[in-house]
Amino acid sequence: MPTPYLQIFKTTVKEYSAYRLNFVLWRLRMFLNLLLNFFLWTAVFDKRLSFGAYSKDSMISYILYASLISTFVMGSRTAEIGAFINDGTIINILLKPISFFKYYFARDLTDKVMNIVFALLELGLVLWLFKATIILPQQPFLFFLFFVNGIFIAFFINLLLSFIGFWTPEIWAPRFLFTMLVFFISGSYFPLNILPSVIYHLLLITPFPYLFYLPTQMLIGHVDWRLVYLQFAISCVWVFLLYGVAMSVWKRGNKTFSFWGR
Amino acid sequence: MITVKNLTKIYQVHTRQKNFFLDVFARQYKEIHALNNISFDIGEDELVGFIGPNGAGKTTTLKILSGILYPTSGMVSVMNTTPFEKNIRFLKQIAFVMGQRNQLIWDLSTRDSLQLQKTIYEINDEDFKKNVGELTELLDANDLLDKPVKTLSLGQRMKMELVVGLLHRPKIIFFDEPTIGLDIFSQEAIRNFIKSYQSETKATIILTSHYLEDVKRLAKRLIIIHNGSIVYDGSLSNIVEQYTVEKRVVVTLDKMVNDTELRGIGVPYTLSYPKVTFLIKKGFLPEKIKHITQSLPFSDLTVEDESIEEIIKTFFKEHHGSSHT
Ligand SMILES: Nc1ncnc2c1ncn2[C@@H]1O[C@H](COP(=O)(O)OP(=O)(O)OP(=O)(O)O)[C@@H](O)[C@H]1O
Ligand SMILES: [Mg+2]
Repeated sequence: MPTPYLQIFKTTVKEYSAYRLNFVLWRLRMFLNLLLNFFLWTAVFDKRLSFGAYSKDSMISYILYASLISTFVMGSRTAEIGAFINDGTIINILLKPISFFKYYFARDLTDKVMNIVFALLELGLVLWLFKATIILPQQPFLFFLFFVNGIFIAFFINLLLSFIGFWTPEIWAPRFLFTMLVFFISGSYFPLNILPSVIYHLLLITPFPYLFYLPTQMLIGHVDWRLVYLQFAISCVWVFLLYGVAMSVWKRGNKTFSFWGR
Repeated sequence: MITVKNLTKIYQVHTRQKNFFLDVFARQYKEIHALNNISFDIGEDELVGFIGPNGAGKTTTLKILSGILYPTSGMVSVMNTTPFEKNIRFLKQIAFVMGQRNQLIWDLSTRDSLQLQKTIYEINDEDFKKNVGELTELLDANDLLDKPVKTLSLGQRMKMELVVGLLHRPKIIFFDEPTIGLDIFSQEAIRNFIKSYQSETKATIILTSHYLEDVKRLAKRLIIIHNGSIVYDGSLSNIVEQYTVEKRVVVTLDKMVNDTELRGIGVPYTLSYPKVTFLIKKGFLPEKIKHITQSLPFSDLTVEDESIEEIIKTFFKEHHGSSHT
């Protein structure tokens, strides 16, 4: 990383350490979440050998990897931008000779790295405590492609949700809606392809499966070879589309906003 | 350096409606005319005092000059670029220091903010050391660098704000009320700092303040803005000359004199032996002084200008029938 971004990274780490307890409690919550889901699926497989196309091992692998990958993909500091717009603090970043998008991407990376370190430890703990077996990573190249796209899709959606702050101080409602959608249709609790086929295929048009569902599928080797090129193409379209929209909304916001105060 | 022509800024203030969707898709606005067609030019290494009542449009002007706000109409050029474009070269050469807002990282020490600033502005180690050294020395604030910002007092924080804000040696600085809320000693310290910084770096500076002493001590040129229009742009000494109604004559008496003798000159403004002060209309000054020297036993006599506050008050009274500064 070029120095300013490395320094932004370091500074953000320091800011986290000022709120250690917050962070630890947040991880605890995520860990309990993971345990809950783990027990749920273990119970399901008590009485049966497969669920749709999933064996017990592949299902457990899916939820464990998905939790890890979603931690990295969804990790973000952008939620603070909405508040910064409304209280004028954003002026400080605007006046710095640095790209706003890159500045926030560096900050997001910090969040991602901090979280993934803990998530890995938590995963190790689950594997060790409950003797879970998980599939070794498959398809590293495909995984990487989808993973990178997922990161950018999440980043631009997150930015857009914050840029709503340029038009209304009610920034939490839309973000809450997004979080709920991610909960249910991004594949946090179950792999999306156990849904009825029509619904699953409709979902593939939206950006949600590209966040961490598909990267996870690649990692556990569940590649739908008929669709994978199309899927990758759609994820690329989402990346560029969302980038374009985020950029133009950012520019419009800057032009019309009146930057409160004093 | 800075050219502003027919600059107008109208704020579109969004009036809130009952629900989110109306808010987003059928927005209603109210217009606030913050700046009406203002023009001025500021040359290299000028230090201009920019004053006017609350809500006059000072901060709005500075926000436009620094590229934060998009002007409604008119031409703005700073170092031959349009500020709103915020090109990197431009941003690297300006600083906007606000007394009411800070850019320090609240939970960390000033040193952490400085490190970040150093890499973002691409300052090399040598310059970094030199600049931090000079700035902290001028502000007498070396021991504050490692304290968490949230533990600093208002005055200390302002000093740190200056160290961080000016680390990159900006060519143009906008100071928006840098002394607000500070005690007289801190005000003095900040004032002295700005003065020596300017004489050392030859930076172009626009300074707003409601403490007119700041302006009087620092600026040669004064721009007064009122209701979004410039009502005065000229030298400070001119306005002092022009709007001084009375001068303050302070006489230190040698011995007690009786009331009638004093009243022969005028009703004293203050009297606490041995000092007596008269306010004397400018036109009568020579005559009155002659009178004093002839009739009062004194060891010292000084003639002082009216306070700058009084002068600006007079200015507003004459021009706008309004008396606030
Ligand atoms: N973000 C904003 N949205 C809407 N109106 C604004 C905004 N900022 C300022 N105004 C209005 O524009 C006018 C000029 O405000 P400005 O902040 O420039 O004044 P100022 O001269 O800096 O005053 P002060 O001395 O109180 O700081 C005021 O009427 C103010 O209410
Ligand atoms: Mg102001």
